[in-house]
Amino acid sequence: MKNRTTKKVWFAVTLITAILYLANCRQPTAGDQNVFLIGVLAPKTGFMSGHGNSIESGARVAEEYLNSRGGILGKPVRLVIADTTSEPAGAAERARELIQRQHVKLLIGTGTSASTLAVIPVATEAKVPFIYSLDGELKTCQSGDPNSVSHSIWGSGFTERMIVEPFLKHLATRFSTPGKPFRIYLIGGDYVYPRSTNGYVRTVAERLGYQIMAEEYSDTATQDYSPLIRRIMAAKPDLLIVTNPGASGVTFMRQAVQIGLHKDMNISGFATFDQEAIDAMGTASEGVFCVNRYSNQLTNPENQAFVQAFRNMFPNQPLLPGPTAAAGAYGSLLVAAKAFTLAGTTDPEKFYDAMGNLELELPQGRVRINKQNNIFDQPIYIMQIKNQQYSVIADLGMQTHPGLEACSVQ
Amino acid sequence: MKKRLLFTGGLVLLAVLACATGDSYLIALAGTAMTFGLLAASVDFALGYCGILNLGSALPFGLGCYFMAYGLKAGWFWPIGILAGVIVSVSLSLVIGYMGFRRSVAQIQYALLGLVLSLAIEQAAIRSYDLAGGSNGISNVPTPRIIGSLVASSPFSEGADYFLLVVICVAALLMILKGMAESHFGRVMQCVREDEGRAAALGYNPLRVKLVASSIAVAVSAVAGSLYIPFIGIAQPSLFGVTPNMEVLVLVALGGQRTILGPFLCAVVLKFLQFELGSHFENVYLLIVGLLFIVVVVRLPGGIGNTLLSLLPVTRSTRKRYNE
Amino acid sequence: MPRRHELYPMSFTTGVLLDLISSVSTLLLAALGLYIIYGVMRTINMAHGEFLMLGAYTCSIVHDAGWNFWLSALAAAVVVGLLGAIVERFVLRSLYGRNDLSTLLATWGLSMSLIEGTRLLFGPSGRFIDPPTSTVISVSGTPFPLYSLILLLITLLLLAMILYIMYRTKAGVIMRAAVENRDVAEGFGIKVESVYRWTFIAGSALAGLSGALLAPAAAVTPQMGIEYGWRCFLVIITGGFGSLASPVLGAVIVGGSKSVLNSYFGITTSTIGGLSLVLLVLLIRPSGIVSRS
Repeated sequence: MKNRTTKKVWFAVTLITAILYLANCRQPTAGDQNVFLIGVLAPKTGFMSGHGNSIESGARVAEEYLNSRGGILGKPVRLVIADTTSEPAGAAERARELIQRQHVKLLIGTGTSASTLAVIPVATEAKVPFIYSLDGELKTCQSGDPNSVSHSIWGSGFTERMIVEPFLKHLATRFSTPGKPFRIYLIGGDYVYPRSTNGYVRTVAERLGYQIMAEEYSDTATQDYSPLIRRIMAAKPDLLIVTNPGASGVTFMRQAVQIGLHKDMNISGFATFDQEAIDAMGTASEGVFCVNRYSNQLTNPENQAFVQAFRNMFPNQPLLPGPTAAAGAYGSLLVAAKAFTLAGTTDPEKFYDAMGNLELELPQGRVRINKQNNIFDQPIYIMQIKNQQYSVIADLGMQTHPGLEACSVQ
Repeated sequence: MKKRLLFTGGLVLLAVLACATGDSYLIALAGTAMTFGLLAASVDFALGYCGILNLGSALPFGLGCYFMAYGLKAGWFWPIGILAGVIVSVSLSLVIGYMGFRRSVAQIQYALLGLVLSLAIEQAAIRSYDLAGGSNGISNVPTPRIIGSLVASSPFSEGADYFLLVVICVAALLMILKGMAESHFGRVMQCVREDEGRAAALGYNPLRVKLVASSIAVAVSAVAGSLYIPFIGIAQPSLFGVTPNMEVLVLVALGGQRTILGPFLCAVVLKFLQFELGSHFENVYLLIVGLLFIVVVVRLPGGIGNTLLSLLPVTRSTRKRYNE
Repeated sequence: MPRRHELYPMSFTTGVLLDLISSVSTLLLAALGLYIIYGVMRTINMAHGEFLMLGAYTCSIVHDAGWNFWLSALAAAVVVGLLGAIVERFVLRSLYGRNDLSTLLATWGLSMSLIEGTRLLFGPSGRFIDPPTSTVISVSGTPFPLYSLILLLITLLLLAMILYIMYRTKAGVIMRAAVENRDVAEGFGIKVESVYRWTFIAGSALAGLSGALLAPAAAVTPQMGIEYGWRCFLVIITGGFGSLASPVLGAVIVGGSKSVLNSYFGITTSTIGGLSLVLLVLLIRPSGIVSRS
């Protein structure tokens, strides 16, 4: 008896919700034609939330900057921030919502490769330009056709093909013993990004005559790295490359430093020594070499303006002026704004044409959108971590991804 | 029986209305909501009626997702993907059921075993690069075409035909679950839940009853997963994580145990509310959900449904009349 | 690539043993609080991982304020113990006598709130705390952090303390009576609910202390508890509930096997092998390796 009435109550509630929804969808919520809506997919909760907050902050600074200059196509810019919950399914759902409910003209963001891959089909189908903000494998080819470039997807970060070779060459000149091969030990989290990056490191090392001593992967939930650390210490490589993004890299470094690993060798890494991770690594990150596209200590005028604007907007943010993700989101929006202005319309094909070979000075340096692969050609810097801050020790210059090599969209 | 037909008819009618709007966002949202609701209902079948508490309840759902996604990408005829998911999930549940349903094992240990298995499969999915795309999962999963290819440029060509098929499947499976729960077997399950010794004395083998009940629930969960995946387009390892596993138990607890339809409707309503709430209070959304949840479990043990009910004066008098 | 044990010939076995010891003792330390609560109340605290996380946060914050590491760790125990008291009073107390599901779901809601609350209060990117000593000692030529040795000693000390309380004090007798047979114990005038209350507080305080002690070798982020939590659940179900040997053997099987397999056969084998071993144990002894049926 009780159950049956429960059912009735639930049925009534559902019916009301359904009717409200059907009524709602007849009038799309964002009927406001007088603003330029941009969707920001930021993982504000879940394990990528540090990254998500940075994306949002950077995008907010760009919003203010663009609006102080008249917005885009004469309309003020308004951001619609959507939380992807750090999950691919969440990212896809939110992207669909932003496109179909809010009618955004542009999407930026996401925090992981998986989330980006989940959003790509949604954006492609709706022909809404999507600039993903993450470094990593190339994801800008068309689905089912790895040889032609997508007209809706751009990558604002760098790919492994842009950083690995110059980075290794630079470190080899610094640390190799003359007359002996340069010996590298690779470790990484056991998933796609570290494996594909290290796979390419191996190719480059073979070409340059370096020796890869070992390549080992631990699952991301590992809490005890001591057997691995012992093996590395016994192998005594010239260089250890850590590709354990997120918490696992922090755990590894904390344990490695406790046993004194850093005293025996030089440590570097890909995507492991983000500003968010350095905060949790603390003193264990001291002296590590990494390769990145942005540091708050760059001295070009664009960066000084960005840092100033960021400080004014977020005076209480501990990560002043925000890590790479913030500058990346800022840069993506500036580039897109310029392309929309050049195109003079929001038509996706005209936007695509305007994006090709576009050049712009950004906080990270001069950036050029490569027409061949939709990746942002950009300067890459080698940095060393000192007092939990990046200090730039070498500018490797503008780097380019060759064609559509190694696209991970299937 | 009449009520059930009414419910099914209502569900299908709503679905047709949704299709008529031609809003593919609404269709995808409704599709995810209903398939997740079917999962909640199937978990209620095992938990509510037979007392099987499993913290890894989302495992068969995830397996269903993966097999369907793999099958659709590989160009299999879509029912084969569903079947593969069901077979694998049921075999797996028979193995852990055989280990965990013995009387010497505490209920909580079986429950945790399910969670551990689910997390182990999450790790396995992360490291299966070639087969299941590793941490990136299987993305870009196409929607199966049922009649869409025949009727060009109609709502059906946008995947609405698949949605309608899903609605019919979900409604049919819900009715089957409900029917079984109210049949003789349903009473046997409740007997096992209340007192295994007594059930054994009456000539029922509790181990066998629990194995059958969990297999049915797991099979339906796997089907729900298979049907779900085309709406979202990506099967990823976090389907086996802690969050979905706990989320489905929450739906059962909130919707009201032993109702089958309660958890289903709860899932549907929450899915639709989630986006509205999530976009207004995005920063504190999960905190609110967590706290609210503690309050509901502690203060409203019957679930929200039963509580709403006791607040309504009309139903109170109706109930009184029934009781007299 | 050379075979692994040729890489470091003399000290290889010593290294394996040292790693085994440190991995078992850290895992045991993490699981002790959960075990005590499970052992007495027969419920799983799904927020156990978050209690560890809060212990680590408290320790790090208090340490930054200028306190000594060991005092900070004690402060963590006190803070998390107090939290345990609050949780017991307002959440668990009304759930005694209800089914397992209610407690599981309520503590899971708690765990979600604690993660989100921590993220909102202290930011998403985490904190760090350095160990009180960075000395590396040499055990027959193999380096071993002194702090790991201290952790081992603390774990042993805590085990001894629990044993003493359980078997040599009146509180222990009451506790064991409440576990053995609730109704009979109540018949003898034992307030079982008060036993539960103090057990939960003690278990929480222990979790806070463990979290603080583990923090120097961990990533202290709001998500920290998730990974630790399920590793602890694994220890509990493998070890079962019989005596204090249960969590020890559970930790040996879950953590030790992984560490040893990793040293001899590499990481992939260790993950798969470790988990297979757990499943094998459960197949043979479904209620855990040391259990009274």
